[in-house]
Order: sequence, then C-alpha cells, then structure tokens
Amino acid sequence: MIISLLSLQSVQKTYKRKTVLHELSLDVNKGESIALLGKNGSGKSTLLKIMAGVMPPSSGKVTACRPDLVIGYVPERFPKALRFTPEEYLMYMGTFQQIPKTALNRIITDLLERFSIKHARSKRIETFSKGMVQKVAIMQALLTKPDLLILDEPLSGLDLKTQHELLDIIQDLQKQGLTAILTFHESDLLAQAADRLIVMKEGIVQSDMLLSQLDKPQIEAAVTSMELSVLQSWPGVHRSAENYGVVTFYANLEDSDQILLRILEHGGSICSVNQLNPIRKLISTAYANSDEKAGDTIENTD
Amino acid sequence: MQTVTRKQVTLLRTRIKYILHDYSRSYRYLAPLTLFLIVVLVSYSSKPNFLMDSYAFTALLMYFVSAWLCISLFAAEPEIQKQLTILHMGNVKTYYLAKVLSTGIISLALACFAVIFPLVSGMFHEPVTWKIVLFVLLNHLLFGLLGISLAAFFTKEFIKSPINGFGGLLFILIASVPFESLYAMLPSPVNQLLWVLPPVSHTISALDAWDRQSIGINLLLPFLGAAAYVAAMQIIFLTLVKKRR
Repeated sequence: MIISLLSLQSVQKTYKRKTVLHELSLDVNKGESIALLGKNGSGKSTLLKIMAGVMPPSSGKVTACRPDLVIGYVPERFPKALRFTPEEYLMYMGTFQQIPKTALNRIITDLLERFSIKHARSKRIETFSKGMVQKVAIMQALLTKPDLLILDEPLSGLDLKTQHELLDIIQDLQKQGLTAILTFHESDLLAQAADRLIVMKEGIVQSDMLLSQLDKPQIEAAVTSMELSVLQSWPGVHRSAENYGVVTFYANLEDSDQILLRILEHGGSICSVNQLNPIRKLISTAYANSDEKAGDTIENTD
Repeated sequence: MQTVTRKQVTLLRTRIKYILHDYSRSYRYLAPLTLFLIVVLVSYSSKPNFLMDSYAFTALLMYFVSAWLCISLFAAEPEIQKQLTILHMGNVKTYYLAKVLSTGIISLALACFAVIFPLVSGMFHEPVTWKIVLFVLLNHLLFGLLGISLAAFFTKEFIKSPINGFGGLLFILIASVPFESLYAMLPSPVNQLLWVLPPVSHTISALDAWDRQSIGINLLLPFLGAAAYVAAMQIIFLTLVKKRR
C-alpha cells in the first residue's frame, strides 16, 4: 500500500515578482528514495526548503501525513565555519528539539561512531575537511530520527571516497525504511541512491518516473569478420543488423564483457563499443539545458 | 502548567547560551567592547567627576555601544546556520527573542561596569546612595535596551546591505539625542515625526534635573515612557521578523 508522507498541492513560490515554483503538486511516498534533477534555478532547492519547512510557499498547500512527521534537512551549503565542536553543536540542536539529555548523549555517540568522526568530537567544525563538515550536516538532520530526510546536494564537491562513504550511510538508512529526497549531479551514483527520478525545469516537474521504468544500461557495438547468424544465436544479443560486412548489435551492459570476449574468441574484430546509459542520458538532458538557459537562473534560489 | 513554564525557561536559557557561546567565539564583540572600555576609562581618567554628568554620558555611550553589539550579534550566525537553528528551535519568534535577550545580557554587564567602576575607584566628590546606584543602573540598562530595540530594525533581517544598515542606524541614533533642538528647528507638521525616535533626550533631561532624593512622577514618567517604547519596539520587531522569514 502506498502511503504518502508529504503531499504538495499547487505549491507556488515567488521571489521579488519572479515565480520560482509554478503550481507544483507532488507526493512523497513512504520508503521512496527520490532524486531531484534539474539545472540551477529550476527550483530544486526552493522546493526542498519548502518541504523542510525552512520557508513557506507563496501559495498552495504542504500536507504531512500526520502532525508529528519528523523531517531532517541537510542544506546545500552547510556552514563550514561553525564555531562549535560536533558534540557541542549536536548537543545544542538536540536540546532545542527537546530530546532528553541521556537519550541525546546516546544518539550523539552513536552518530559520531557511525560517521567515523569520534576522533574529532572535540575539534571545532571550522577546522574540518569538506567531507567531515558534510557528515556533521547529515548528523544534525538525523538527531531526531526523521521519517523523511531531505538532502540538498549531499555529495557535491566531495572526493570519491567520501562520496561512497556517505552514499553507503544514506543507503543503510534507506534500508531501514527511511524515506529520502535528494538533489544530485553524480550520474554514476544515482542508481544506487534513488528509485524515483523527478526532473524539474523552470519551476515545474518536467518528468517523474521510477528508475525501474528506464531501460537498463546497454552497449552498442560494431564488429567485422563475424557471421550475423552466429551472433544472433547468442543469448544477450539483440537488435543486430549487418551492413557492408559490419555487424552492429546491442547487448545489456552486464552481459557485454562476456559477449565481446566471445567475439574475439570467434576471430571477430571489434570496431567500436558505445555505452548507452539511460540514467546518464537523462541527467545530461536535465542539466544540458542549464548551459542554454544559464542567463535565466534566479540568484539565491538554488 | 508550572512544569511547562519551567521547561520553557530552561529551553530559553539554552537558546541564549547557544547564541552567546557562538558570539563569544566569533570575536565580533571585540570592537564595540574595546571602544566602550576605552571611553569609560578615559572619561574617568581624572577626578573628581560630577556624578550625574558622568552617568548621563556613560548611559548615552551604552545607547550607542548596545546598538552596535546588537548589529554584530545578529550577524554572527551565517544565513544557513541561522535557518537550521530556527528549524531546530521550531519557532522564529523564540529565536529572535533569544537574540535580543542575549544582547540585553551583554548590555546589563556593560551597565554594571559603567555604574560600579567609578564607585569602587572613588571617582566622585559627592556621596552616592543605594537609591542613586539602583536608579542609575536601571537608567543605563534602559539606554542599552533602547539602542538594541532600534538596532534590531537595522540588522540583515530588514536591511540586506550592512553599509545601509549601519549608516541608517547611526543617523537615527545621532538624530535622537538632540531631540529638543531638532524639534524647535524643524517646521511644525514635520517635527511631529521626531516623536517616533527613541526618547533618549527626555530621559537624560529628567536625570539631570533629579534632586537625588525623591523619585517622583516627573522623574518616573520619561523612564516609563522609554520602557514602553522598548516594549512596543520589541513587539513590532518580533511580529515583523516572523512575517519576513
């Protein structure tokens, strides 16, 4: 059964007479991991801020499934120059949330261990690396054990190791049933982090689809010295054709290594191999517009 | 009911502690505090001093320095940190109330220093009673609060450009001191606008004219007026700041 945690109905946001979100309606369902894609100024961050309660919409309604729905929010640019240690900062934020002191101490110790920054618990955040600062940003959002976690560019500007480390943590949380919505640029990691994709353009939802609806990544290859009929008989090969002695075919990415190896074993020559990744294509389409329309972006919105 | 109130007080205390903790590590207080200390120490560099003249001067200093402290304390947290703090606190009004109270606490400490320092160093040639000390202390605090109440409207919450904010504040602060001469100088309907300025000059005049014995209506009225001004400004500020966020 699909349970909607948060429902947005005809949400509109206007900054200084410029409309950033146009009558946007959206449901965030329990257990989903939503990746929000779109160029700068498309309204992604504004949408997340409205969902998190950082700012109210100019018009429209945001309805939570229950009044005590807990939302954790990780902003795009978490302040690097925080003058507190992670322990102090989390202690203050937890106290503001009225978490009892004993429980709060336990939560903070667990978080510091889980995010592997226990060694830096008494160092000021302003001395931390970007990856460590981002960990504190996520930790503050997890203090209240949220039902919905909103992350605005959580992996942006981080090295690959930290990206994977944070992604593992996010995936662990998702496995525990946490609903998440995040903005993303990293196409290679998208499939691991999301099961639903929403592409935004100029304040509206351009497309909203499940990742499972997209085709699997494929290869498109051209080979010579190879019989078309032989190739067609192999499992995993599809949409093959022969033209002037060059055989072209498509195959699922996961089978491609085996098929290409088999071609070489049969004396065939591989002329070209192209990887066709629908997710990457979708992301490049979503962000390609940003170059064309860069002049249209609205400052301070994303 | 009592438990809820105690809980709210404890929460407010934690919020103030957080704001002061962050502000203390920002070192933004150094410039206004240094100026305050230097001016107080220099003004008492020779003795004896006239009691009320000296206290009227330091009270006015409190007005300016508290306004500066307010601007710098409000700007201490970067915008995103502020958004998160408000999100965790769950209430915009409480956040700003804690900010105003935090500035008030610093102001109270400065008031205590400005009143007690000349007493313990024997800077006056006339006897000082407890009644005078208490009244002058309240007067200093009130001047500090007047400065804070006014400065709150010139913080980044209302005026984005720091130069415009600081410049505008300084203009109003200076304009509010010579109220009587400005009132006489400006033409009749225009000079009525001066009543919106903080009632600084009335309070100073009342203090100057005090016989240091009885606390009558002539003395109390300007002080009550100033206290009402502070309360009204705070209510307007907290209402407007909630609407702006």
